[in-house]
Amino acid sequence: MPKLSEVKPNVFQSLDVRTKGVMLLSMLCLALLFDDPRFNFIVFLIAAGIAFLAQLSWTKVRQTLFPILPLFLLIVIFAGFSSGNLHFQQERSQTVLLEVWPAFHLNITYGGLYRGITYLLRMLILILSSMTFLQTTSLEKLTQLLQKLKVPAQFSFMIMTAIRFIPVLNRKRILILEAQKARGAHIPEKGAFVPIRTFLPLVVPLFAGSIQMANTLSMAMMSRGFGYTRYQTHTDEFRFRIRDGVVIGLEIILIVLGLYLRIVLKLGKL
Amino acid sequence: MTNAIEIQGLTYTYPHAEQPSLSQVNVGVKAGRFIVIMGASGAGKTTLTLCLNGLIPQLLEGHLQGKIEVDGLDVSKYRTQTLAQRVGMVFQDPESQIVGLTVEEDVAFGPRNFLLPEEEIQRYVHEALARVRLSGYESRKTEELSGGEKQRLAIAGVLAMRPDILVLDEPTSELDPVGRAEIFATLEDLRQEKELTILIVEHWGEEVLTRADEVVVLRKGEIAWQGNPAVLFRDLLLLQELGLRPIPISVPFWELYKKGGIQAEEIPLSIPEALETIRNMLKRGDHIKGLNLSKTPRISNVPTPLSACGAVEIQDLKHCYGNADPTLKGISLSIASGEFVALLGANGAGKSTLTKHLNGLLMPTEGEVWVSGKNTKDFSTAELARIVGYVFQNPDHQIFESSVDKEMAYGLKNAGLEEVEIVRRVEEALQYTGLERFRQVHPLTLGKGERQILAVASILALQPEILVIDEPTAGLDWTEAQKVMDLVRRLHDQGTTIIMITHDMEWVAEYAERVVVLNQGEILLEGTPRAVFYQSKRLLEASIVPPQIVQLSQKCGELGLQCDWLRGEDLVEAWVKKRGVENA
Repeated sequence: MPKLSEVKPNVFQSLDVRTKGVMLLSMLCLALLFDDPRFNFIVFLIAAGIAFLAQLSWTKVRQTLFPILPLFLLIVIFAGFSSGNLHFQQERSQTVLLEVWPAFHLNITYGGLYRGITYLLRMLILILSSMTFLQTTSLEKLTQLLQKLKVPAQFSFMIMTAIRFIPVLNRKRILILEAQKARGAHIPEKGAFVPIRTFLPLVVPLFAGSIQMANTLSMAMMSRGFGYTRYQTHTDEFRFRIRDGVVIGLEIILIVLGLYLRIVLKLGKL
Repeated sequence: MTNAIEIQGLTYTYPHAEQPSLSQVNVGVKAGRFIVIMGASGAGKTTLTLCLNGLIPQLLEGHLQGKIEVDGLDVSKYRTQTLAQRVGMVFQDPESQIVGLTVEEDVAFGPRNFLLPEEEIQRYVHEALARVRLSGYESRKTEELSGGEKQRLAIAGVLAMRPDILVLDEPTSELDPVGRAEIFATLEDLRQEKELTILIVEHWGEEVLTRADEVVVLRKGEIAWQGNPAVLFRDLLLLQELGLRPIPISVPFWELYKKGGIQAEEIPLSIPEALETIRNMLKRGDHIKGLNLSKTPRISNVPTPLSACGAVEIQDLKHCYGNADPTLKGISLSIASGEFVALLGANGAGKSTLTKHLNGLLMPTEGEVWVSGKNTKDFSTAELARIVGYVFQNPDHQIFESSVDKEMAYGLKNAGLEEVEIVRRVEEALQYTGLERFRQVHPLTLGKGERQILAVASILALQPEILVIDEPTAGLDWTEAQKVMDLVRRLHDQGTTIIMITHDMEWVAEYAERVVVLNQGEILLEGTPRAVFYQSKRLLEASIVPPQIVQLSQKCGELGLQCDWLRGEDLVEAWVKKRGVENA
């Protein structure tokens, strides 16, 4: 399998970063526009379709979603308890699905369940769309976009450095874990309900190593002129092509259609 | 010719330190020269380099006296960022100085900070990449580069700012031999250009010897020696005094010099020079004894049959990481109790993957691994840790306690030993390794060599039957390296089975009883060091260069001699003086 850097950019990757930014925003707006999960499911399908076209790594999507599955489940359960006229306008939504504690009016309603599913779909849309954006946009382009938006250079550099050092620190974490296990340490690799003290043999060398790395990095950056002025040469390589125009057009149509359905036809409510 | 670097009376003390790290240092470096800074750990080498572009005292504060000029600019009057266009600085760890996600992005980082026009940046980036042989790598992700490539990228990053002076602080200390060779080939190209003044801090002399115009040796913050590298490396007494590693090939000839066999200026510093010295010795009528067949055991590249009393028994071991191609492709190996085995091979050959099966850090995809009669599949890593001690290359990956004795006790606590027993074993390990005086000291304040010894000590407190030690001397100075290897030898003498992963063939020739060469997940060669090292062509397949004395021995064929030297003393023993007086 070719490595990411060797993959020939597909059409989606070659879109202007602004087009992709607008696409991310429009997907976010559409997801927030509707409360009815059926509408959100359609938006989710669009987001998944875009991710498919952009050749998003499904392994990465799986790896991202897997650890937060319990959170998804909790959201659906807790949202299920929202009930009554205050929460829902549709009669069906107010219908009780299950009476959990009648004395306290603690019921699971259809509307609550739908809302839980809507929240879930909104999160999935947000995760998919942002992953599509990040995986198809080079950091340099992202930095350019931030510069264009007048975000300070230090801030965009901070993002760039953080992304750059995630795999480095992860490799370090694995080495430390192995070194401590070789001394008979019992450090669980996963799980949130473990005493913090258990992680000290992992955290202390990782922190010490990170501080050392940060120290060298700051020296290396100064030695390469970082901070010489408050600015950097920025490459103004934004190129708006016909395909960008087409995609932006589609995005506008989607937004207008969404607004029409929601505001004029008053669809998508619970 | 003007001096590119002019240092006068430089004295520097780190904040909160009692003693200065540099004291009255005076150095003048002419433009276009190649200067090597040497010295033991803590001698002040890195501190000196950090003063050259003002990082000291601008970033690392402290008290600085004296005057430093680079390219005629008074360093104290300019910011580090301003000096960056004059002095390019490359640090030890390639990982910590790369800021870009792609090669091009990283190299352009410097020029962008100086607000250069885009066309100029592109030109400088491509020129810099070409100078470090990385043309065509522009869109590669920095994360995917090898260690050597990363360090060359770091050099390109500073070259793109077009400095006149290039300062490199131990640029190869964290690289494997292939990466090291890449860096020195790059430096050789830059030296040939004669456009740059190059100042490099380096521990080992072999690579820099022929390139250096001058060597400056620091000791305890002062200049202890300065001059022609050949003069320094021919004086082994001086090297010993300065704590520097001699060129391996010079060691036996130093012995011959002491015995009156050769003149001081005949002490060779390279293989061709050594061959010339032997030629001259023969011309003078000296005699060099030939092959000692009794010393040459049979080569074996067939797995040794499994024995019942082996410390390690590996049978048809295969290992795959996920769905990738197998990293180990059917290894069968038997290591007897008390043996000293060196595991050799290029990076990615499968050495660490193999040894991590011994303590259960990895489980076989296929095949079986037995240690001291226990199948690793049936025991946890914590249980196996009491049988197999594993010392990793970087001691800082395990140190986390607040004192040396607590650090040593950690493994013992994990093993569930009683407090009295823990105290007894820590005491023993402290005495055995000579770390008693550091008992209450915070481990991270120790020198690299002492931290490496602490890493070994905390493992040997567990009294393992087998010790796996990965690159025990990497990044250490000569004195520290000798101390660590002496400790390993003592453990072996007392019956511990040693499995050592190393790239240093001189140590292998000196200590190992058996050598196993891995190549692409398979055993390429196996046998005694003498038998393996004389398989030059097959060793090349695994990117291994035999010790210098073996290379010389093979070259001696050109003089009509048949030699099978493995260590320096073999050559000294083989020498018979003109009058027929044999030197025992």
